[in-house]
Amino acid sequence: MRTRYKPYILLIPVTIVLLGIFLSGISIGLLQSLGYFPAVGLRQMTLKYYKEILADPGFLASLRFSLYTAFISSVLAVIMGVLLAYSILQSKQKKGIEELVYKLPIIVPHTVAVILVYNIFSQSGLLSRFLFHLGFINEPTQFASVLFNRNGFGIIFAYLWKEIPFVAMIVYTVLGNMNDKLSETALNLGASQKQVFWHVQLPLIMPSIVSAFIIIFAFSFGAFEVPFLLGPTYPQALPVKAYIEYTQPDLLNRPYAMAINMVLIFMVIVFIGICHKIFRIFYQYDGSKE
Amino acid sequence: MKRIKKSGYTLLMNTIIFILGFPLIVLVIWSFTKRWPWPCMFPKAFGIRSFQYMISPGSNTLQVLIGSIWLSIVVTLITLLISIPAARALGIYHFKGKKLFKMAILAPIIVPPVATGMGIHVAFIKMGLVNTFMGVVLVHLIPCLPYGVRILTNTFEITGKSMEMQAKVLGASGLQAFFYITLPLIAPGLMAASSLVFIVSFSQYFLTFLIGGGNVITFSMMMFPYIQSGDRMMASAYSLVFVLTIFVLLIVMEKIVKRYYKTHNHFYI
Amino acid sequence: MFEIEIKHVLKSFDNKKVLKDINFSVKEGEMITLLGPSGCGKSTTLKIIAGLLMPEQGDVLFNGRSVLNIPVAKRGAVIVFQEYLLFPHMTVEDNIGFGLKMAKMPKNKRAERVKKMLQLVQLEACSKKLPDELSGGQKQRVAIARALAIEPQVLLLDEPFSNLDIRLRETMRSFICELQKKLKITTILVTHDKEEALMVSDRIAVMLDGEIAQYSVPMELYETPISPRVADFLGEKNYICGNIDNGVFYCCFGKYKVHTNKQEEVKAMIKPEDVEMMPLDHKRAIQGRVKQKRYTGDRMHYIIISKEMEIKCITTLKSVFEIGEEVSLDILWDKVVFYQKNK
Repeated sequence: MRTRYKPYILLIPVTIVLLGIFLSGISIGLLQSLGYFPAVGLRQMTLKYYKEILADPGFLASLRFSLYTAFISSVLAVIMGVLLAYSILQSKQKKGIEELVYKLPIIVPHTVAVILVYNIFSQSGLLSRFLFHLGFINEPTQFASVLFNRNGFGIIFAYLWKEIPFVAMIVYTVLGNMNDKLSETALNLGASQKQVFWHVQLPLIMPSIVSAFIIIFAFSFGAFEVPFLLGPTYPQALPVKAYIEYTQPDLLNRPYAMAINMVLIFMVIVFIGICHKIFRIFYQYDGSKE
Repeated sequence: MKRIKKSGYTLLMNTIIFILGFPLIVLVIWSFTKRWPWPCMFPKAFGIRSFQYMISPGSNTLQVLIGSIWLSIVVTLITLLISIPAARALGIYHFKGKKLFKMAILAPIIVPPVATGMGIHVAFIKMGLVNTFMGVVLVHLIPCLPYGVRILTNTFEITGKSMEMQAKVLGASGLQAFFYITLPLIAPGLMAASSLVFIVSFSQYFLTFLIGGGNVITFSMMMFPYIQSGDRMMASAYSLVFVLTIFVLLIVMEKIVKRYYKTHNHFYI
Repeated sequence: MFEIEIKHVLKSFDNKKVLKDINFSVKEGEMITLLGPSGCGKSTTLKIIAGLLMPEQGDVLFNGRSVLNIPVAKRGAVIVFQEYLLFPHMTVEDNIGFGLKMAKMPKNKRAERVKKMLQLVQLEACSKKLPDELSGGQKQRVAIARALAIEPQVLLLDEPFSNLDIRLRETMRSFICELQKKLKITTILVTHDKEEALMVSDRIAVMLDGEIAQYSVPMELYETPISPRVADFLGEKNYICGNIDNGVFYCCFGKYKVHTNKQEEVKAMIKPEDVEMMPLDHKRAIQGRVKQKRYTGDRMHYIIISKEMEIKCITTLKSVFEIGEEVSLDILWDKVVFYQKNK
C-alpha cells in the first residue's frame, strides 16, 4: 500500500516548484495577456491584445525574423553537427577532440558566443581586416555588415557556434553506444558503407536528432541575449520585443508584452507538434522502447 | 580508395573543429591585448590591463565573482535536494502518470524563459521576492531542475533498486540503505548533475537580471555591458575569466568527489 | 526447530496472475529447490518469503508464526541474487560485514565474525579487494559469506550458479551443498536447471505457471512425475496410448502385464532411457528403423520409427546403430508411468 503512493510523495517537491513558480508564471502571463490586470484596473477578459498584435506589422516582422533565425540556425546546426559526429567517429585521431566537443557547448555560455562572433564578424573584426589585406576593402565601413543586420547572420553564427557541438555531442554519444554488430550485420548482408548510414544508423539516431532539433529550435526561438546583442533595431526578435514592451513605463503596455509571450509559447508547442507529426510519418521507430 | 575516404572525414572534422576553435584563440589574444587597431592582423602591443582592472578594488569584480559562485552553489544544492527524490521516483518506480511527469519536468527547457520570467516577475513583486537573493535562487530553479532531474533519473535507472533490496535483505533500514548504498552508487551521477546545474545557473543572464533587478549582480551580468558596447578587450577578458571559472570548478568538483568516494566510476557499465 | 510454511499465496502483476495458490513447507535444515522454467513465478515466491514483495493473499509462516508484518530488514531471510549484487564501493571485508554494521554490532566483534566468514569461504587473501577485482566464483562466495554473516534463519538462493561457467558451477555447487549440510541452515534454491535441482536438493517443488505441480524427493520426482506436464519439463518422453484391463496394458505393440491401479484408457509415459535397443530380432515384439541419431558424448540419442510412431531412445555407447538400420526394442515396463488418458 505504501509503495503505491511512494513515487508521488517523492515527486511532491519538484511539483511544488514547477506549479508554484513555472506554471504560475505562465498563468499570470496568460491572464494579463487576456486583459485581466487588476493592479491597473483592468478586469475585463478580452482578446483585444492578441488581435492588436496580430494586426501589427512590426509584430509580424518580429515573428518572421525569430522564426527565420531559429529555423535556419537549427537546421544548419543539425546538419553540421551530424557531419561532425560522424566524421569524428570515422577518423582516427580523435583524442582530445571528443573531450572538446563534449565540454565546449557546456562551459561557454551564449553571451560568450556573442563576443566570439563579434571579434570575427564586426566591421572592425578579424574578417574585415583579412579582406583588407586581400585588397577587397579599404576601410571598415566597406565591410558588408553581418552583425546588427536584418539578414540575422550574426545571430545565426552565434547559435551555430553553440549548437553544432551540442548536436554533435548528442549524436556522437548515440552513434558510439550503438551496437557495432548492427552495422556489421548490415555490411554482412551486402550493404555498402553509405547504405549502412542511410538505412541503419540514421534511422536509429533519428529520435535523438529530432529531440536535439526541437531543443535548439525552442531555445533559439525564445532566447533573449543573442538577438538583443547581435540583432538589428528592426525587426527585433520576439523575445526582445516582448521585453521592451514589458519595460515600458506605462503599465497598460504589459498585456501586449504578455500576449507576445503567449504567442512565443504557442509557436513552440505548435513547432513540437509538427516535428512529431513529420517524424511519425517517416519513422515508426521512436527509440523509446529501448 | 578507403583511405582517401577516411582522410576526407578527418579533413572535414578538422575544418569544423577549426571553425569552432579559432574564435576561442582570438578571444584569448584579445584579452591579453593592449593595442590592436584595424587593419592589423595581430595586436600591436600586449598587456594585462583588463585583468589589472578586474582585480583593482574599485571594480568589484572579485566580490561579484565570489557572490556569483555562492549563488550558483546554493541553487545547485537546492536543485539536487529536489531532484534526488524526483529522479528516484522516475528512475525506479512504475506508476500512473510517469510519462506526464517526465514531460512536465522537461517543459522549462522548451518554454522560452522570457515568457515565464515576466509572469514570475509579476508574482515575485507581490511576494516581495523581487530584487532579493532568494528570489533569484528560486527563479534559477526553473532552468536548472530539468537538467538535475534528467541526469539523476538516468543514474537511478542504471543503478536500479536491486542493490538497495540486497542491503535491506541484509538488515539495513531504509535510511541506512540510502546512505550506505544508494548515495555512494549515484555519486558519479550526482557529480555530473551538480556540475551541469551549477553551469546553467552561473550562465543565467536574463532571469537574474529580471528578478534581481540590478540588486543582485552576477558575473554574467557584469560582463554583459562590455559585450553590448563592443569593448572587445574587456569583454574577451571577462569571458575568459568566466569560462576558466567554470572549468576550474568542474575539475575541482570531479577531484573532490573522486577522493571522497575512492571510486573510479568502475561500477558504471 | 525452524520451519517455513507458505500457505495459499497469491500474487499478480498488472492483473496477470503470477502466483496462483502456492503451498509448501520446508523443514529445519532442509535444502529444497523451486524448479521451473523462467517466468513461472519462482523468483517472486522467493521475494515474498524474504519480504521484498507482499502477497495479495495467503501467509508466510516461520515456525508457525506469520511474518508478513515483519519488515524485510528484520525477517532474517537473506537472498543471494543471481547477479551477486556485491556493493561495488566496498571491499570484500566491508561487504561481508555490511549486515553486521547495519545491526550496529561493535567493531571488534564484527571483525571477528568477518574473519570467520572469510575462512569459511576460503577468501582470507581477498579481504581488502574490491568486488571488481574478483573472479565470478569468488564474487559468489563473497555473496554467500555476506548472507551467512548475519546468521539468517533462512538462506534463499536465486539462480546462484547460472552466471558461472560449467566447471566452476560444479565446484560452487558442491561447495555450497557442503556448507549447507555443515551449518544445517534451512535453504531454498531457485533454478531452472533440472540436473542442478536433482543433484543438490532434499526435496524439489516443480513450479509451472504459478503453481506447484509436484513437491517430492528428487528420485520420486524423476521416476514418477505426477503429470505429463511435469514429465515433459524434466525431459523428452515417449507416450503410448492404450487400455488397461485387470493389470494388463493393451496397445499397438501388444499386451503387457503392469503394476498400476489405473483403469481403462491410459497414456503410458516411457522415458527414453527405459527403452532398450538391440539388433533386429524377430522374437521381440517391437521392431523399427533408425530415423535419426545424435551423439552427445556419453550417450547416443536415437529416434526410431515403429508402427508409424516415433520412439525416442537414449542408450550408452556399448552398441551403436546406423541410420536406416532395422532394430528391435524392449521397454522396461516396470518403470513405465501411466496417466489417465484425459490428463
